Amino acid sequence: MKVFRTLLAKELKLYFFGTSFYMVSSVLSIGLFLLFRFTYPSEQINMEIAVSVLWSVHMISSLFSLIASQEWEWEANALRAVKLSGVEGYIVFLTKSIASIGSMFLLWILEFLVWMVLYGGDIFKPSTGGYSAGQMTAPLTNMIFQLLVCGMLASIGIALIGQITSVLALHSRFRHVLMFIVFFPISIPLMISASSYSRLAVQLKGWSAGLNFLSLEAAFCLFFTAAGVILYDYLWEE
Amino acid sequence: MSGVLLKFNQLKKQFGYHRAVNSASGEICENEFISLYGVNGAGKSTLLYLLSGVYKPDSGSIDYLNLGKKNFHLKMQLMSHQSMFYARLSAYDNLFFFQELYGEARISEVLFALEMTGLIKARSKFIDGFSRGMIQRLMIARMILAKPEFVFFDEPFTGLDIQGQKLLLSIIENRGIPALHWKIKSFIFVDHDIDRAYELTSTVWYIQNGELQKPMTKNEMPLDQLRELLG
Repeated sequence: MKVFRTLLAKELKLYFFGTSFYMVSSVLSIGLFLLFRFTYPSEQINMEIAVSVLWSVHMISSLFSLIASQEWEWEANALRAVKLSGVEGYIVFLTKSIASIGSMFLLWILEFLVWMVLYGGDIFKPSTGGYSAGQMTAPLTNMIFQLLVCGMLASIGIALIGQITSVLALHSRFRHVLMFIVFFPISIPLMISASSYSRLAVQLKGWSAGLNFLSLEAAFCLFFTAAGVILYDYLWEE
Repeated sequence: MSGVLLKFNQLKKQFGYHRAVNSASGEICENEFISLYGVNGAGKSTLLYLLSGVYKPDSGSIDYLNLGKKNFHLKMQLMSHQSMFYARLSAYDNLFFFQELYGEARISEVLFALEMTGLIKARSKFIDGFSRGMIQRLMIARMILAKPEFVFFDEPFTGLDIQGQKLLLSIIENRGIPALHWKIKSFIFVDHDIDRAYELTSTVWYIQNGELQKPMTKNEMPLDQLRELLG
């Protein structure tokens, strides 16, 4: 437990001091949102497209977090020193994943707030039934919680997949390219599920609609947690 | 010399088409202090990385005997070109973190190690702003905290100023720091200063084109002959 705490504290410190990637991700996200928002007139962008924009932006900006996490270990071979002290690979995987999840979810919340400002007009229209007499209705409050749950699950999934693909790419000279190539195809089903569930959520269809998409996200998370715990050491060594 | 600590047999390591270590077999005994010689690219650093566990051999084996692999690694430190520190953590945070992994970190001990190595004023600075010499000093600080029984020195004096060199030299000459109850049982030393390495050690290893030759005592390999060999 002590080793777990020590490694987690180290990861959180690295994320805390790694302000440059937060800045890059935030600027990139806002830039992409603005590009989509003002390239197309608002009447041409319906909420179905808008949620896809949210998830595409989140996926791209998350990669910066994952690359940063990978670079910290690559520089000066620091992870090797950690491993030489006898730490098991699965502990490294879990602590790195937890710190990545926190950082990505934080990033997602920031992106979600910007997204709401730019695209939220439709949601708050009285005609959609989400906003009435100057107050948020229950369906609208539900929608926000639904999106938060969906955002959390997707962040967990991206972080887990990202940590596994990072360690796969770590020893390669083309690690940045390799990571993109491996990461995207694996995470696409996760992103489709997140987009689909979010689309139903912003249509105020309630918790039960699209539950299969949320279940798929959860299944992804469970599968990659197990895969990471079992395979991390092997992938790193080989 | 007394009991054998570690045995290795037919170690091989290849990078792409380059065979860095072709064949290395031998053993390291307690109270054996080894200097490893070879021309540039002979495979000295790779052999140290293989023995310390940084690299995994392509073939061959390392037998950690009674100590076991995990225990050996916990009692071992490597001082090499690779600092193995986190660049975006401060000197203090790096030392504290690694000390926590190797045992119980105490703030006073970490500060003492920083003081001893002359890094106390730079304790809050990130490593990515450190010079090569400061990183070397930080590696000495990590060693002082860990009190390893086995050390692999790979050109440890590189980048160190005179004060840093004196500190490291006293550690190597005294086989640790007696006042801190730290005793080094064995080390392997790679240094381009042939005379210094020869003086500080008892056994001579020579590696040529990735092949480790039979270990020699100083009587079997006089300094003049060694100089001629490395010529």
